[in-house]
Amino acid sequence: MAKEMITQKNKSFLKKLAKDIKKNYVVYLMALPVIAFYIIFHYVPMYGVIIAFKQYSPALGVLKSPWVGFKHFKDFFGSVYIWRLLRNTVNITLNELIWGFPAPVILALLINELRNQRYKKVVQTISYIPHFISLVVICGIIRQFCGSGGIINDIIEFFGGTRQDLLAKPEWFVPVYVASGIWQGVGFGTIIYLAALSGISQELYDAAYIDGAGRWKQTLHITIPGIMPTIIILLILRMGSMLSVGYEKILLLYNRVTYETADVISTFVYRKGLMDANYSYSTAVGLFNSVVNFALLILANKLSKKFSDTSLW
Amino acid sequence: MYVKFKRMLPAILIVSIFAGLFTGCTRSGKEKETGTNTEDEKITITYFVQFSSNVIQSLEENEVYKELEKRTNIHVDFLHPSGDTNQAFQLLIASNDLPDVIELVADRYPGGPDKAIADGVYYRLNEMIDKYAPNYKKVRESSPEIQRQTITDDGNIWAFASIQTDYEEPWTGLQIRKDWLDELGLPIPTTIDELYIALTAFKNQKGAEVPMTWWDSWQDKFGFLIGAWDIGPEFFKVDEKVKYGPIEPAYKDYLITMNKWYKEGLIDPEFFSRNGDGRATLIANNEVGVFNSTSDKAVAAVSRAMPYVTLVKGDTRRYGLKNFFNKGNEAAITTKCKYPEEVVKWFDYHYSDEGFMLFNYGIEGVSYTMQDGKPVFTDLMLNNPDGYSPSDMSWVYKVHVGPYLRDWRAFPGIDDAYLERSHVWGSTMDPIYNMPPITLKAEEGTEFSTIMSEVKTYVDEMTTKFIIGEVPLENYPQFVENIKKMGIDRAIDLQQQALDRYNNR
Amino acid sequence: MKRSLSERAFDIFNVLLMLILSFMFLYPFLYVVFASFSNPELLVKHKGLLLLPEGFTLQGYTFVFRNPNIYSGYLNTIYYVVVGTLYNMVMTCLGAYVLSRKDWLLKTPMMVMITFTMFFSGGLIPSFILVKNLGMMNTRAALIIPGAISTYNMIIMRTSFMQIPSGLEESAKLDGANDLQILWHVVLPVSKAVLAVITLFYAVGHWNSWFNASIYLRKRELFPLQLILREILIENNTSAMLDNASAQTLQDLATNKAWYKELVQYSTIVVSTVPILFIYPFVQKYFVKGVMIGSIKG
Repeated sequence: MAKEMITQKNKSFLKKLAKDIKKNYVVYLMALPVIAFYIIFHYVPMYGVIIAFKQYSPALGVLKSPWVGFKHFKDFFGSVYIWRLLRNTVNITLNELIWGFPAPVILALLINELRNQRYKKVVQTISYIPHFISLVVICGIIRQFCGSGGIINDIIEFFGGTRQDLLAKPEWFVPVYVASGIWQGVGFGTIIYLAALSGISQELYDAAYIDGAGRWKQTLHITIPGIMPTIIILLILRMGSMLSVGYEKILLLYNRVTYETADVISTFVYRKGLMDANYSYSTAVGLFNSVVNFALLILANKLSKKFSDTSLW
Repeated sequence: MYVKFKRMLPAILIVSIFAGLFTGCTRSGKEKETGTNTEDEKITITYFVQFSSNVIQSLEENEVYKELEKRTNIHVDFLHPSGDTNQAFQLLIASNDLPDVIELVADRYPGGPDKAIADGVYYRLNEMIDKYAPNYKKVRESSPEIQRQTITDDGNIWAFASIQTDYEEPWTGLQIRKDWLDELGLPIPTTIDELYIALTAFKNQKGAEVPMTWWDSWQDKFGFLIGAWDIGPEFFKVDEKVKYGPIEPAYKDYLITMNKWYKEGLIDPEFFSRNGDGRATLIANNEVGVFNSTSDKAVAAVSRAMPYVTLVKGDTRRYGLKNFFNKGNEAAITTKCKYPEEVVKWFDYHYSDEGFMLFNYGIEGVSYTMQDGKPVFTDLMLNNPDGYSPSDMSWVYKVHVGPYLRDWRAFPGIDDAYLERSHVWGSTMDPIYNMPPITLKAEEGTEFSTIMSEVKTYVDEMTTKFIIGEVPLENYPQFVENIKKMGIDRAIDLQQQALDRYNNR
Repeated sequence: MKRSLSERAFDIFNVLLMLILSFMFLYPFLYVVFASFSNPELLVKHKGLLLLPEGFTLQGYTFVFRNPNIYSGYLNTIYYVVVGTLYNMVMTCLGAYVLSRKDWLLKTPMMVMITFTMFFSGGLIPSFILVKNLGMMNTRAALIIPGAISTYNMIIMRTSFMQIPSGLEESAKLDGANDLQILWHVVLPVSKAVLAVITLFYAVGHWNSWFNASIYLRKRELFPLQLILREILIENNTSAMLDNASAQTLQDLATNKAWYKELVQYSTIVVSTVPILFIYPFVQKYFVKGVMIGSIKG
């Protein structure tokens, strides 16, 4: 009985679809290249995911390589360091979220408040330059600043503290990592918010001014709600990259003493990969990351549907 | 009519965009065929090897290979990957797009060269070498060690290697400020105790901020200091028995000494976090007495190599920097190649007398001249008018490293100072404890790396903490026990099996 | 407009804050520029902030520009940026538009399927084999077609399209326009800001990309600039970050004869970033307030 009901539902959906295609064929034609793109370049190669469950050998190819089931996952989760790696990864990503996500929004709002148009443009352009400087150079500069002879220690000493190499202290690693990430990325991150800000109708501000609202009130009641859909969507997407802490920057900044707080999933997998190029292992860990990330995204999407008008679907 | 067309317009647009997806843009260049045999026995082979140079774009422009083509009638189409070489190699295999020859990364075939031969991807070369490569055969058989280093556990000769029949002296080690020593009236240290005295004097009397700097982590394996205790930082062997340094009792003595030196400010307080640039600044500012290398001319002029120090004066080092006769850069011939015998003969030339001169020194009259029966590099190489460095020139007029009979002294940048340093570094060295180039079996490799990636993380972290005093040395037994819990005995066992197989080659 | 005291104080604070931040943002770039003109032997001795070149030399730039592939690299990158971004924008606009139609039947399933691809992929090898089988190896198409749409960018564009008041489209529909015409005549003109941003994102992406080129291209004449520069960078990197440094570069250090290698690194970075910095000012003019809807009455 239930089965018939489901097939009935499908049938009626397909009927609806056929009717709609006839009526609005233009939309479907427009969608076709996009759908084709995703199928060809994303779904066709997706069979590669099974490498995570195999012992991949290039000569045998993906399909003929032997199955090993959950072996790689067992290796990964069986490691003595698994909790530390997970903890560090989550710690870094949460801090990046809490401090790093609002930063471009705040900066965008501040830049937006500058009155002199020229100054505003110049500040905007300068703010996004660090995004383009290569990571190796940025980390070189961070080392200089954080070293015991560096600028940050000058400030610490000025306030009565003792000089020490910040990169040698596990408790300093995450702050340095997150702060330098903001330094490098906040300018580029404002671009999208500035674009959203430009879309808020000037009429709303004029009306508010007539009503006697000052700048702060205007910001609170017009500006922020105006860019809220952008913020929410970007936040949902950000939740979908929670476990993705890349190894490049950490490799450049960490050392053996800071493993405690700096060693994350990707750096551990990287070091293992140097010993033994086990493609399947890194694929398995990557799959684990993806599953968690996707779950978080779905959760974030559900929450945003409940509490706001904006959501991915 | 017009209205109808207007309505059709969007459809036409969409279809053309759709079509654009599949036809793509300009296709430039066809892929060359491999192994074509065009007029008169001239063969073309595809050759995959990493290459990058400030001067030329490809080894096709290299004078040696140009000359080689004239002498042997084989044309080489070089394939240089741009980006990660190993990844490019893996992709080649995965897409079954093999070149005729693979150099340098051929040993990274998943499962190893033995598997590559078993899978029918590489040729087994033993028989062909017997028949067609007398020079290479002679070089291999000149010493049992060379033989072992150029054959696999299963007895397969799978590649032509870069071989040095002369033992190469250590090319790195520690250096010390001779001018400071002279000032203080101290000799160049040869033992740990003498080094301690020198460092203390540097600190107290010369006011050096950092008496000794550390080195890059990949150089740990040379055991600059730790080898004095006759152990290695990782695996080493004593009388063909494999041991693991950190769980040996002598490791504790090493830690105690380093901890003492650290407390007294003789070692760089930031030794574990300072990188090459930071060290370079300290050295160039005359704050350092003992270091690994410097590019500062003024400091280099007054520094000398310090022999690898030992515990007992006059002793020799049993663990240190060991150079192997097989320098790597192995070139395998894949089964894609249609003319393996010709290619074997071609490689054999690399090990002949003329090939020796060609690859090591280049073209007579251009890159070298003979003086008193010895080859001497010309100014083109040593003081290039365009300002290029000797190593840049080494990739244009000769081949710096590759599958040929190599003379390690044939580097144009080498001067007497360099040879002197190498000699000093080699003066206390007889590295019989260093592990030879063993190979683990494929399945064992995965198990091994799972154990060792944990062990190594632990050892690296704890060793540093012991030295800086963050963890008291009384915890050493616990440290050893933890390593054992991680499975080090199994890892030692695997290494032992591999060593036994190696010795039986 | 009269401004209260607190507002004026805020303005001054804001200006000062931006000044300080600007210096902080500018410093890394200045550092690289100064270093690229500095004598490496003097530079290595320098401590503290770098506020001027140490010594002066153009050798770094001479070496970079001596590389014959620099010019073809620039030309190729311009090609990839222009053609690639154009292709990206067409595909992304189409996708963002159809996904923003509120009552489209396939909207939700398509959204889910597309978002799914942001997380799960087959990895490098199947994609490589696919590109090869499509006959795109060693062609410029390999750098343009497989990367046609960035899902992230498309979602942003879609969000923006969804905020356009429905009144505009409804009146267009009443005039008998089909969806393609609505997209072209109604949606795009009022979306200049987001179009400018996404164009910038794609253009920057193409400018910075080297990885796909490194695996799909064999002919040097097709290489983009970043790949060429990466080779220069690796060839001259004396402070290796990886665990397997080249013994050759160490020998160079030991024999003291390749002093320019550090220098070349900085010049390389300047050469690769300066051009892209000039794009932003052009894009900026689309961010002027109120570019969007004038006013729709009724």
